Amino acid sequence: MRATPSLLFTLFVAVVAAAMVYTARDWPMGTGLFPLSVGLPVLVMALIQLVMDAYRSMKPAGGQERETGDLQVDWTMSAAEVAARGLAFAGWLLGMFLGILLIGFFITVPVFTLLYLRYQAREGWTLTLWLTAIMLVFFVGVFDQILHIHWLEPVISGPENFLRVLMPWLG
Amino acid sequence: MFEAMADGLTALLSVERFLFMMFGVVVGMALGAIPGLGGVVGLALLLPFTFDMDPTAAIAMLVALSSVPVTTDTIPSVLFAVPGTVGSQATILDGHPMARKGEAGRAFGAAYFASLLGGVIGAVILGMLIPILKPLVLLFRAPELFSLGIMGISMVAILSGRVPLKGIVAGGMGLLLSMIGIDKQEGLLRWTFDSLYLFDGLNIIVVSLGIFALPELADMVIEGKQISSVPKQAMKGVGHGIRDVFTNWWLMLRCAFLGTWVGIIPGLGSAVVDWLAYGHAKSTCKDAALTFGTGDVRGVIAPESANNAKQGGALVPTLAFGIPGSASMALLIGAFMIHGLQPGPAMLEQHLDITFAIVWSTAIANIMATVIALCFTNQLAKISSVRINILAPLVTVVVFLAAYQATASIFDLVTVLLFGVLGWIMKRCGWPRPPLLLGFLLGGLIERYLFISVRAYGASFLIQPLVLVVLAVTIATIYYSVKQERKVRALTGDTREGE
Repeated sequence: MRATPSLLFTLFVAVVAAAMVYTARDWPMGTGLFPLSVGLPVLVMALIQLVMDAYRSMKPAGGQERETGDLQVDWTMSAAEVAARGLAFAGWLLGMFLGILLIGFFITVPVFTLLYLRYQAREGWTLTLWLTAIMLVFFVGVFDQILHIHWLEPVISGPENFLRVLMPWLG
Repeated sequence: MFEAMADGLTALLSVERFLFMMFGVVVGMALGAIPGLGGVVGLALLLPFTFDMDPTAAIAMLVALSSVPVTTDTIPSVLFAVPGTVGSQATILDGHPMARKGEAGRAFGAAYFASLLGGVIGAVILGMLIPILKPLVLLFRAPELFSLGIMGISMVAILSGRVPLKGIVAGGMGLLLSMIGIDKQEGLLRWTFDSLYLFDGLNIIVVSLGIFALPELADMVIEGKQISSVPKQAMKGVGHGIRDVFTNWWLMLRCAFLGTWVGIIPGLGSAVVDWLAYGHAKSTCKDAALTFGTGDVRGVIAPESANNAKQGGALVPTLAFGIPGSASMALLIGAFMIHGLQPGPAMLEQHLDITFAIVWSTAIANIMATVIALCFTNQLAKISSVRINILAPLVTVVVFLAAYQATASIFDLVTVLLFGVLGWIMKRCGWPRPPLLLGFLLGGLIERYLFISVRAYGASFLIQPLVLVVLAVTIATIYYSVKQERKVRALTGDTREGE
């Protein structure tokens, strides 16, 4: 039996369902009835799926093209290449999240756009600066000036405070 | 009544009122195209500015604004698989594959025209139902609403393709996720891990952005191409899409009626209507099991006609009883009251002309939105030939902003990232994502009406006549879709065991 990603994910689903059912068992009737009446059948079916996936993982790898009622996946790329590119993109997403957390939206949004376009997309400076400026105007115009979103206080507030001194109309 | 209809139209066609209505249309279209926003945001923004306005102009503007976001929410759904509003999630399943095949223009043409006809049909039904609203809406009590919820969740069987067991488990997990937060019956906390953010449960905008938008964006970036690699000359345009709507007029009409019906029933919600229409199309269209999910235009026409028609339907309980079926309808009721109009039977008797002005506003706004949108369709379709690495940072920023504005918490971003990872793994491991989303959308509704039904009627709620009818339709739909699935399997020679 090979520990395929599909098998591991089914195992994860079964464990989550089991944990949800286990925690719901002591809840009062009104609170626990619906979670248990949904959770128990889900757990049973997840376990059946797990057995089926485990059985399938013992056989030679079969087609991944089974229609799932979802958008289709391009299986022509090698798994290693998909993982490498996927991790790189996840890194950009994580970087943006950490940027927002540490230095706030106002600095992260233009910096992320600029860095991605310049170093990941390898675009020229002209297009990079134009698109960054458009993104900044859209972000500040719609989300800050029109919608007045309440922005979170970043961990390092110095750079954003400096920006607010330069542009006092920022939210 | 015909006099009131004419008065309503005449009142609306003064230059000032028409311009205000057009302003509502343009703002609504812009909000629909930006993921995460939609009509509620627009209504909340513009409502304070209407205090000193002429009541008819103000209401025409706000009704127009709330009617049209579901027309332009197709743009991010088709191009980037990012749902523009919660009502355009199902459009992604075939709209985005169409864009990847170089048929973005065709998808837009079909979506806009289906939206136009759906919106007008919704408005016409609203106008026709005004005299008989009360008995119709009162037919649906908690047991009937519960059975409709069950009917909605049965769509899981249709949305799971050839992996029904995975689909049912995913749907069940969606139901379980919907229970996170304060339990409405006892007031106790469920799976909140003492996090204040989870007290109100997970936000639907954040979950749907994570489940669909980030995984699709990641896959496009991984492939490293443009959305569509079809040459611009070979791309199918807007005219093709409009012809598709005429070819599939019966499907469009059915889904428009379905959308209006869902809108009329308070509490079913706009997020469900597109899935119901998509499921209906998938279970009834010829060869749908073979082609849906791969860029079948019928998978775009069905949800788009339904979600625009829903707007007309949603005005029915709002006008007749003052019962808002959604947040945008609650804001509209606020607008009516600001301008001295009390929604309910009195409105239908004393202000029938304004009531019909609302009906006309809905119809005209849908027509104007489609005309404006069609003018820009071919330009929008060209975005699909831009390299994804140029679009990726822009779409990523919009997804982050759309998620953050849901509750303005850093945990919105954590949630969207976690669901992004979950969605990507589900897609790669062959787990269908639509059932998860459907379960999540319907969980709260099913639990609420189940409890009310049991408390009010005991077990006998299951033998109410209308409940039995709805449940029979549900069973027939599941039976028909399973039969169709078997037929397709026999046709394609797929002898593998169903999961």
